Amino acid sequence: MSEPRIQDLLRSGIHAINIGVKDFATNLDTQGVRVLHIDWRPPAEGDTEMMGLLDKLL
Amino acid sequence: MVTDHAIIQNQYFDSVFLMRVAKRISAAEGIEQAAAVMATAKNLEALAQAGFASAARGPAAPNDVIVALRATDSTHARAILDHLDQWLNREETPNSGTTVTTLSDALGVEPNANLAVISVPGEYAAREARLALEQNLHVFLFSDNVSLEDEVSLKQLSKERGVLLMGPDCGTAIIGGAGIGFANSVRRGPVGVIGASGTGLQEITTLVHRMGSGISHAIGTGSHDLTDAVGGVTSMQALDALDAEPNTKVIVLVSKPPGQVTLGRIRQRMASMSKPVITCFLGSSGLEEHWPHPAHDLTESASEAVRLAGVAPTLLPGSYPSVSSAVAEIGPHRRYVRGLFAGGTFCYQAQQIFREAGVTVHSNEPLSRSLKLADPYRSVGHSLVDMGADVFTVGRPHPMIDSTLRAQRVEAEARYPETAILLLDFVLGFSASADPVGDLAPAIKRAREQAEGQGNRLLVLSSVCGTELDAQGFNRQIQALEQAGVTVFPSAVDASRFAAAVAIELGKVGR
Repeated sequence: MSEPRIQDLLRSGIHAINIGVKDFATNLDTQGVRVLHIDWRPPAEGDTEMMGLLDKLL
Repeated sequence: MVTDHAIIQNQYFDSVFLMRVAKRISAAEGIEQAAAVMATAKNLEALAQAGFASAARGPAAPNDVIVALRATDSTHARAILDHLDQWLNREETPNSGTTVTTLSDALGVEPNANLAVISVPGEYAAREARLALEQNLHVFLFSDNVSLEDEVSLKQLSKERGVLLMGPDCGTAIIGGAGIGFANSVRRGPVGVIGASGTGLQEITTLVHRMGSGISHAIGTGSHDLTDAVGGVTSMQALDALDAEPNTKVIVLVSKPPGQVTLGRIRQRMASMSKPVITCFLGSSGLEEHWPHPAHDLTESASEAVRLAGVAPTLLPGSYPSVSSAVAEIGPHRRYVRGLFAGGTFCYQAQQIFREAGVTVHSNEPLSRSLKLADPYRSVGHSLVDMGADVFTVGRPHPMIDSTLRAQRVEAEARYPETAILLLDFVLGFSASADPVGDLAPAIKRAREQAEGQGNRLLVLSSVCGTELDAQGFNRQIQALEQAGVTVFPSAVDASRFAAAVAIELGKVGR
C-alpha cells in the first residue's frame, strides 16, 4: 500500500529545504522549484559526541 | 616542486563549492595540484593520502577550511595562499534575504516544505537526516560516509513516518519533472525509474528521453538499499508509490544484485504489482532472467520501458566503423582497451559486457577480486578504470566536475605502446562540468597525435549521457567529440560492446 505522504510528494512536487551543497539549491531554483538554502555550519563546533548529547537534552 | 597550505578558521563552505575553488586554483600559473576541503577527520585523512601530509597535520578544526597545493615554487604557492579570500568569494544564495542556519528555523520560514536535500559532510549527515525525518520531511541524502548502523536506523525511521529516504549516497532523483543532485533535464512522461546508482539513473532517464518518451519520476534509493542489512526499504516504498501514481505506466528497477533475502521480498512484491516492472540487476549474470520483464543493461532497460509505454524506441543514429575496419586502423602492437570512466555504473556495466564477450578485464572496482588492479594508476592488459573511485577523489574533485586527472590518464595511456582503444564516457546535467568534452578534448587530441607520431592509430570511443535540454548541449558535446576524432556511440552499452568486439579481434593470433 502506498504511503499518503509519498503520494502527496509525487502529486504536488518538491518544496525543498537545502542543507549543504549550495549548487543543489541553485539548480532547483533554476527549475522553478521553491527552495530555501540553509546557511549550515557544523554544529557544536564540529564535535559529533557533543551534538548527540545536545540532541538528547533539547 | 613545493607543497604548502593555508588554514582559514571558522568559515564553512560546501564540498562542491570547494571542489570548484580547487579546480580554479589548479589551473592557475605554477600550480600543479590543489585541494580545498573542510578540515573534518575524513578530509584530513584524505589530504594525507593525496600527498599533503603537512596540511593534514593541521592544527585545524572541522569548522576550518584547508587549502593545500603543490606548486612549481613557493612564490607561486604564496601568490594563491596569501589571497585566499579572493578565491573563496561566495556567490548569492537563492531566495536570499532570509538567512537561516538550522532546519527548524527553515521550517518556520517555509512550513509547507516537503523535502530536505542534505549534502553536508558524512559525519553530520545522519543527524540532519534524522531531524528532517522527525519533521515528516522526505529526504534526498547525497552525503556518503554514513555508518551502516545510522543508515539502517534512518531507513527504519523513514518507514515509520511514511516518507521517502533517498540515500545515503544518492546522487540523482527526478520528482515531478524537477531534477535533484546530478540529474539531467528530461521530458515528462510515463516511465518511472527506481535506482540504486546515480549514473545508472542518469543514463536510463536520458535514454528514455532520447528514445522519444519521458519520465514521471526517478527515485534514487542510495547504493546500499537492496543489501540485506538495509532490506530495500526505499525501493519497496518507491515500488508501492509508482504503482499507485497515475502518471506512471511502466516502472524500471535498476541496481547491482540485491541480497538474497531482499531479492525474495522484491520478487514477492512484484507478483502483486498492477504495472509492468522492468528489472535490471547489473552484473548478476541472468539473476532476473525468469522475471516478467528482465533487462540486461541500462540501454535495454530504457528501450524496453519505452516500448512498454507504447512508443517505438528511436536512438540517435551512429555513424561508426565496422569492427574489421576499426581493427585495420589500429597499429600492429596496439592490443588493449583502456577504459577511463567518470560514471561508476558505466565502468561496472562495461565490465559485465566484456565478461560476457569472454574478454578478461582488470579494474580498480572489479566484478571479482582476482581482477583488481594492483595499482589503480597503472593499467594491465584490458583495463576499465572508475576514475570516480575514492582513491582518485580524495582531496580532488570528482571527474564529473573536474577532468584534470582523467586528462592526465588519457595521455599516459596513449604513451603505452600496447594501448589500442581509449573507452570514455561523458556525463552532462545539473552540477556536472559546464563543458565536459571541452575539458578533455585537448588531452584526447594530444593522445591521438602521440600515437600517430609512432606511425599508427589509437581509437577513442565514447558515449554521452545527457539530452539537448541539458545546459551543456548534447549535440554540441557530440560535435566537439567528433572534431577531436572520437567515435561517439548512442549509449554506454554500444560503446562498450564495440570495444569488446574489437578487443576480441585484436587478441586473435597472427595479428
